[in-house]
Amino acid sequence: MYPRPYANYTLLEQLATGGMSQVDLARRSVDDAGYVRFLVVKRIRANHVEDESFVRMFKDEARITSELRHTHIAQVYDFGRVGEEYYLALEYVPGTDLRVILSTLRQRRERMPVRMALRIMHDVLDALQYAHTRTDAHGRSMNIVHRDVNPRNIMVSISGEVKLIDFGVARASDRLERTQTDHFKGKVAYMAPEQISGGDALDHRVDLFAIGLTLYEMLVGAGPFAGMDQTQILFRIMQGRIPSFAPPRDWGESGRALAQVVNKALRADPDDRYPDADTMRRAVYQVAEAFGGLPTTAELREWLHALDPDLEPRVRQKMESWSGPIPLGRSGDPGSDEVPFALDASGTMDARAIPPGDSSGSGTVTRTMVLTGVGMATALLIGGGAILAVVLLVVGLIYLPPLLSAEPDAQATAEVNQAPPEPDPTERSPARKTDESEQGAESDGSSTAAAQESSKPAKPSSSTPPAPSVTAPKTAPEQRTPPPARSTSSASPRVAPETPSQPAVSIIEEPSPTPSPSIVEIPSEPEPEPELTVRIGASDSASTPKAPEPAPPPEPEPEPAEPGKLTILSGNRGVPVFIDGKKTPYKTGDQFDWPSGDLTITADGHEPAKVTLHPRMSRMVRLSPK
Amino acid sequence: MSRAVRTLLLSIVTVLVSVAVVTPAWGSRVVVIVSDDLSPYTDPVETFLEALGEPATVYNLRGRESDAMGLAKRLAKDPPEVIFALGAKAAWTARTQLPKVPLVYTSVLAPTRFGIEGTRTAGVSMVAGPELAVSEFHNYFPDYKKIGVLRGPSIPDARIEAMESAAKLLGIELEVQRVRNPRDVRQALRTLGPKVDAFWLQPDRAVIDRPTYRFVVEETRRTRRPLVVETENMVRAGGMFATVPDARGTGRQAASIVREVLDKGRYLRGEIVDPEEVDVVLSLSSLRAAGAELDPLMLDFVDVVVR
Repeated sequence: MYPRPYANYTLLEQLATGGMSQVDLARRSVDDAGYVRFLVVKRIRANHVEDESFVRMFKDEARITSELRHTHIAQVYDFGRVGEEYYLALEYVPGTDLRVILSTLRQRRERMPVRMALRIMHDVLDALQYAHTRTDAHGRSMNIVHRDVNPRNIMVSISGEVKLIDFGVARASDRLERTQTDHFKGKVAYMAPEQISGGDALDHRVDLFAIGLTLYEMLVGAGPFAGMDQTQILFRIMQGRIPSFAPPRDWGESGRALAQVVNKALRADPDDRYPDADTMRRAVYQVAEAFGGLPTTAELREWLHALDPDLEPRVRQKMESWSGPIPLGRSGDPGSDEVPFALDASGTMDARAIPPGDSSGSGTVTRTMVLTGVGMATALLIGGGAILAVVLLVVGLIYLPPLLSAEPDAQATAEVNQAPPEPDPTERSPARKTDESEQGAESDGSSTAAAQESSKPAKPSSSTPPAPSVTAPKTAPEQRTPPPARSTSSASPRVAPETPSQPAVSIIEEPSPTPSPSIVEIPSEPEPEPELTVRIGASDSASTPKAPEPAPPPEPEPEPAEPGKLTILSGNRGVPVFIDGKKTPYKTGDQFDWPSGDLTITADGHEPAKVTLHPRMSRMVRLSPK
Repeated sequence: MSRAVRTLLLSIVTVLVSVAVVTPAWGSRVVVIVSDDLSPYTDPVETFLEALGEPATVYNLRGRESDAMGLAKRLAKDPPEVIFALGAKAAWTARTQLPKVPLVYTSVLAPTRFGIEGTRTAGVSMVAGPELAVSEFHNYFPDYKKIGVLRGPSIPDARIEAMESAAKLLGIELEVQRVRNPRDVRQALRTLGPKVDAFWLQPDRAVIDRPTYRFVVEETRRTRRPLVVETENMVRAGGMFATVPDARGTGRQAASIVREVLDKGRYLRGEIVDPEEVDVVLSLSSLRAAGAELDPLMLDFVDVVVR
């Protein structure tokens, strides 16, 4: 039943479900619209946690990878245990995954622009290099390997950012999946030979092989093993029979250079591949130069928008709809992984209260003064100063009760220190305490990726049966009256949260279809999904009707071009400045904001100067005396 | 004047004063929470109050969690319409304990790290906008045309891209080198050194620790390359030049956002805006060490000169 509290979060809706885990969209469990941070919570089913070594491995991996902080890695915020379940809380990436992008392109019979493909791979390689080279406090390598790089685990956000997800959970899930054919199957097509043979001494180069396969798929439109069944793929990879990438002839020398990069990553022998992700990243960068250079984040965003114009509105609308208050039976604990107080060295926690200057300090003074006034008024009343005394008494009575009810600072502090219901920001949440003490969690890397995305276009208000809850919640179902979806305009500031459409999820085993391993041409028929497909359907929030919420005001009008900062220099300060012939309130030596563009600047006794002022930039212009 | 009359007058004055003292605290629509008694936090408060144009109640947490919790409890009973928070502790307290109240914050270097983000928040960044930073450096040192940028893993692509666009407009070439750890920084300095005129160091805790920064300073001085940084403290610790937000300006800017919330019902969507007013910080000793030249006229326009 959604929404419902879970650990430190509120589960909002199911995003995907798989054999081992269920993935939900969640937000931090505050019970109002104030603070909203969306996350993905991946819950491992209880029947998979009996394998102690799996649990231990998952726990170790999750702990290590939760330390990864990189602009192209979706962060692991938290992992822990609730009842019999283990969970992992991950950064939610608003957008879609590469698998869906490739699928959309296939349906349109289009090819991904080479520059976009290289940009995405460049960023993923950057993330991998960061992780592969992480060292512990003693400078020893932490040997972090992703192990499950594939299009499903590469997210592209609606703002054009590329993020690698599910870092580090693959090792533990691999172990479990090897006993579960259908799950393992989905990953085989991106595994390096040494990974399939099951050697323990895997290193970062398995990730580079997977990158090679993914890049191949992006450039060709189909993976090198498309059309083959599981056994064929296994045989092919183990025998080192990996198709080479052959660029179209019209790509010329640039294509050949690109083919070298892809094929080097696809070498069966790890020693023949790139030695590390950074070397490959630099090679990708250089090849991209021949294709016009890597596109910017904005270009990637625009391309994604052109590919699926509904994606961004859909994501934003969903986020807006979940940003409002959610009535719950009980409110969650705000909780925080990192607390400013805990991070400060000077955080000695004594009982000293809010210092004077704030209302508590002034309150003490005021209380004394009012009491004095009331006492005097009473005395006057007795003495006969009736009217004035009554006035004073009334004033006193108005102000006295609130002051008396206001707790003194030290008292308040003591209450806070003792009161259990108040969250203590220096303590970790109960769930986190638990995970340190006893358990880990498990995961199948396959379904988080699907969960992160908003995937196939979801119609904003179509009706859907309630998403199946795989794990029966122990808490009672909560009443829910979510706010109505609000249509949003596109332009939104930097941090606008995101949201996927509410999905109905089914796992589809695709039959092995058509062929064309080492081809560059896009298949004439839409290519099938990879073996294991988690399809997010066109369902939406109808299963959980939204209750009205005070809608935020409409987006502000787009602002005109931003100004720049202009400073006119001359030998004499304070000479009046004319811009485009108009006298300004400014003088030489002043710095002031001015609409950007081409300007002609004059000042008495000086030669005129023509300058260009760029938006958000500063320009100092020196005028020469006549 | 008889004693009784004096007593009467005193009592009247006492009551009136008490009423005057109490009224602003109770009537404030805006509450200011300051993390501590540090100047980066306290400086913007004055300009904020001036620009706000109405009374506001100011609380100082003095870095204490107990104070923060006590204050949060008290404010929860009678929430203000907007909170202006200075510093991570103050902003974090407001965000987590009073999530319904719109929050405007500044003096927080990495707000998302502390979960200070999302709807009903807006912040004034503690780092100058990339375009402004590049163009200010160019104003003072127009002869440096090739700059090596050391970029840590937590620096967003958008910032680097904006720097590159601005540099291109100004005829500057940026050589961006990704660094992931302190060792990379050392390596990058050596490889980039011969190819660039100056270095630009992005503030990223993942790669810059104290010994590494010291190394960077020594290496850039040894190779006589200007070191551009992004905080005043980094200039004081050996950097040559930085464009930093003007503390008083951030207070004014925050006040204008708060006014829009109060007057126009502006809905905060988690935006982090670049500071409108910036200061240029220059170290003369680093200037000399780098062998850089600066027009004496330009020195007049430097806001903070570290001697």
